[in-house]
Amino acid sequence: MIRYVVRRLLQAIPLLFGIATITFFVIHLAPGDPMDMFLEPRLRRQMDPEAIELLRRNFGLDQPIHVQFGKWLANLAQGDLGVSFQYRRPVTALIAERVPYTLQLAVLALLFDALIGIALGIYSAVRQYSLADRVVTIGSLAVYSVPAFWLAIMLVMVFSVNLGWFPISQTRSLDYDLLSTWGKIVDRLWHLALPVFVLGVAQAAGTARYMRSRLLEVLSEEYIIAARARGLPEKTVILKHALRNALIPILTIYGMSLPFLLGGAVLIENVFAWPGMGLLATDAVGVRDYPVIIATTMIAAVLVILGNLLADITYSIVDPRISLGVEKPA
Amino acid sequence: MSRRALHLFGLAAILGMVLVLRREAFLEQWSNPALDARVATRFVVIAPVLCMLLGLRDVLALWRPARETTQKGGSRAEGHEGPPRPAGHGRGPYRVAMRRFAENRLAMAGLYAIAGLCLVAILAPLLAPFDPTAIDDPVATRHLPPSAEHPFGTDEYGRDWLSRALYGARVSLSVAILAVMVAVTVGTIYGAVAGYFGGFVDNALMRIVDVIMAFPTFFLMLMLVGVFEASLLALVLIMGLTSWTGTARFIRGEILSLKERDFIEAARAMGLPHRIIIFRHLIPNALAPVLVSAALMVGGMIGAEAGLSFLGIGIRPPTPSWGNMVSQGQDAIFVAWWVALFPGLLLSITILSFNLLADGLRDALDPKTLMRKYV
Amino acid sequence: MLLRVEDLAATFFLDEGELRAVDGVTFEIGEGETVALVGESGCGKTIVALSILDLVPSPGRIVGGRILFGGRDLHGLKPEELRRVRGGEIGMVFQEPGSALNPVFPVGRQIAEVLELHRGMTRRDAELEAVRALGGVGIPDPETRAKAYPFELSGGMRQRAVIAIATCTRPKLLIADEPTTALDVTVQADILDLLGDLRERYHMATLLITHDLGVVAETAERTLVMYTGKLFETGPTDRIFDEPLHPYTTGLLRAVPRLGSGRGVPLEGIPGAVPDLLRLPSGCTFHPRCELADEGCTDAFPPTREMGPGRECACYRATTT
Repeated sequence: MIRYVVRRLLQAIPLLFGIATITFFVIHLAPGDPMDMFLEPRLRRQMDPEAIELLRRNFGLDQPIHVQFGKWLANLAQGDLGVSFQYRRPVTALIAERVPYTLQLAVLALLFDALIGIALGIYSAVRQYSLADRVVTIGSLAVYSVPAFWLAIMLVMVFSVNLGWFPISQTRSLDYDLLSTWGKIVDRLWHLALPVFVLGVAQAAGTARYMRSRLLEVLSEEYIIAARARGLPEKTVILKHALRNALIPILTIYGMSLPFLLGGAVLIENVFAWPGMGLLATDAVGVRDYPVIIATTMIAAVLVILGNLLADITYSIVDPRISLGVEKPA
Repeated sequence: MSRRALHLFGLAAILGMVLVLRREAFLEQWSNPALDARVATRFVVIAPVLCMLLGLRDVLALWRPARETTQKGGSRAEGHEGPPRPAGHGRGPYRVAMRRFAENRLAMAGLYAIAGLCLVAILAPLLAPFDPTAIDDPVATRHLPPSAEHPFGTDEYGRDWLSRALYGARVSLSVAILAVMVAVTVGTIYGAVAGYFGGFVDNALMRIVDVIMAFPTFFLMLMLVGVFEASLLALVLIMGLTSWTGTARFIRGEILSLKERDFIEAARAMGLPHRIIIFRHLIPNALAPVLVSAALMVGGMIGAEAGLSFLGIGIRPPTPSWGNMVSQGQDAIFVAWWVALFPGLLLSITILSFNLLADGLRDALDPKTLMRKYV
Repeated sequence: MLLRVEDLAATFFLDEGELRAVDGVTFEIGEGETVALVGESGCGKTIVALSILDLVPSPGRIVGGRILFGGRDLHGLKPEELRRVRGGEIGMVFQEPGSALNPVFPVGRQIAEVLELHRGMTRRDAELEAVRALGGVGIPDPETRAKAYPFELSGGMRQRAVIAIATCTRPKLLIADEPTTALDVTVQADILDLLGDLRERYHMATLLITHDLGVVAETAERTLVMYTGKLFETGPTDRIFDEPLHPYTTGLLRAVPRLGSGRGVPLEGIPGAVPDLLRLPSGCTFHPRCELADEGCTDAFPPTREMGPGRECACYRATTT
């Protein structure tokens, strides 16, 4: 078990290295002078060419590319991702401020997804071909097809603008600091409700569909017939024997859905002015704040890798076959 | 209208749209003067046309070998006392797949909707009651609610929202379809090469895929669109070149199993060059999964383009796209509900249609669903 | 009479048509009796077994007949009562021990689960009894093996575990569906010995489904020969082996290698293959492969006739000497 975790951790290292490499090459393949990536254009226009040359040498941009790459990696290892043009602050600090907000959304959305998606999937598989099943399958495909950012706007229009049930945007009320501890928690949840729902509902729709087909597949396995032949009640057969087998691959699906979740968060954060990484990244694109654009993307990838690692380790705990080196079941 | 006629009609509609796009969007917004615009656009048009005409025919004609695998894979069924039977009563596999597809009402509904949307997109200049970009009298026509004259209402500049939505369909559909073509082409070739050569090449290529897959695709698009100055062509390329990894993995798996089959062994024994084996023998036999993966991708790609345009970095106004129209609607949620509602509704319907179509295609072509488990 | 299957019919409703996997099967099994059901692959033997427990998988369905077990009509029982019979009074052993065990639970747990259910044991007692059951089917070091997952055991060990699950409740009837087919030849004899052992220990009746006539000769008191969902011939095993009545039985017997038949004597089989159950030949379904067939065989399926004490046969051409 521990050996497996260590092995997976070691496997993540080349991936992280690969992410850094790709990012580095994007910087250097970008059109124009690589100086653009380090120096604010406005500032640069005001400086005289000699000073720019000096800076270029300072940044090491005159050196051969492999030396630059090495230096860049060394900086990266120390957590130095450059300085934001827009905020004039280290990018690392900026991102550290924003990541918790994105994680808040993502984790709660995953929770919502797991609860609703798995429950609907089971319900629909158990009642295959019933009216409820058809409603769930078609409904989930429809929900899955609705762009989340548009759904967010529609919900804001109905529930916030017209009905006034939920806040339109932001993470907390203006009078947040005056509230009691309990009031603060409620206020936070009240602001989280719509963004988490929008982010989670499409995921839940996907999970429900996957869960349904997976459970139906498992239910046709011989060990399910065998379980029934042993006289086990249908409830035990489905909720214990079938579900355990069907749930295991769901974990991998969660690992794989992380990139989509983070990508979706970009749009949702924009709609709700939620100060997470996605909003930071889009703002940066708007003003060509290159260090921030590149760093947010890289950090997003690192988060995905960490998420996958977590999913795999959980997987190995749930499925005895994995940590003992047996192949993953198809 | 017979079902087959409808299939042809839908296909023709998509092709026609690509043709229209050449004139409307690409020639005007072609950004790289180093390329001969005419040569490039000709490629843009001819490649997809050939792709679709030849591809679709081949997919269905070449379905037979893939079905043989099904029968082999069905050996499990024999354990449960079932004799292997030729599936589909001896009818061609093409017909079986088509029949299965045509019997799927939801998938057919998706196909109808897509055909209709494509037709609408092509005929936008004829159907649109107003000029989509003209701003005549912004004060008098600003934010008019839906009426007989303006079924979708008007926006803050008094532009007819229906006309913009019709023209927006052209951009949204064609950008997504072209980006999918880029992604599927790259992914198929990449996956085929990895699967065919195997060993070290496969390992190296797939590790690269692992790394790219770690990046959330939308973030990657955002970064690339942000770093490179994005023209329409660049947008298509960026969207395509960030989305091919899934196809590559999928096709690699198909090729790995195809590679062991006798006719590939024979081709290798005859000493055919790798290039010929990959492009003439392997890829054509894996076209059914290619088609399914392409169909599955279109919906997501429409959503991605809409998302980028919504953030103001995809298709930029005044060119209408459903994404930037929703973005305009967000600014008007307090005063004009219709501005955000209609383009988003169209987006949802379009994505749903493609997802239904893809589901239907997958079910019709997926050998696994043809397998009978217990008899 | 312990089990009586009357005119059983099970049909699979497929896109391509109705597939009659079991079509009018009638037989009986007495207390403690061992009956073999033989036939080539794909003639409905497994479906007969699943029908007895009312477990025919969709799109299949039982469309006719009755299953009387200890005088009760099994399919007329309430679901809970039927569940008590399944696993409690009738145990089942499957062909693939690998896929009959749930991959994510230790084997001991899977036995204990059945004991808790049918014998009302506490979890702790059931776990202890499970270890004892594993020892009882000849698994060495049962305490350790009880904690093992199915994938950690060999094929033979798995089949022993499956047998332990099926017999831990002391059922009156054990249905063994090709229990040795998926195993290594060296293990097959051990498993058959174990089954014989348990049969005597618990005085169980057994329905042994197999295509291996060698196994039948050694173990079964009576034999049922099945082809295309129908019973062709039934009777005491030694009589059938000495004097097969149906040409199909004759063919099956000819295909068995025998000690003393000498080297160099080629094994004969039955020409042709089992027909597609969706497109059965007219009349006697065996006539295209039968060397005795004439025009009379193509019209209607032959009626089952009594041919001597305890023997029945469905063939126009069958005669007793």
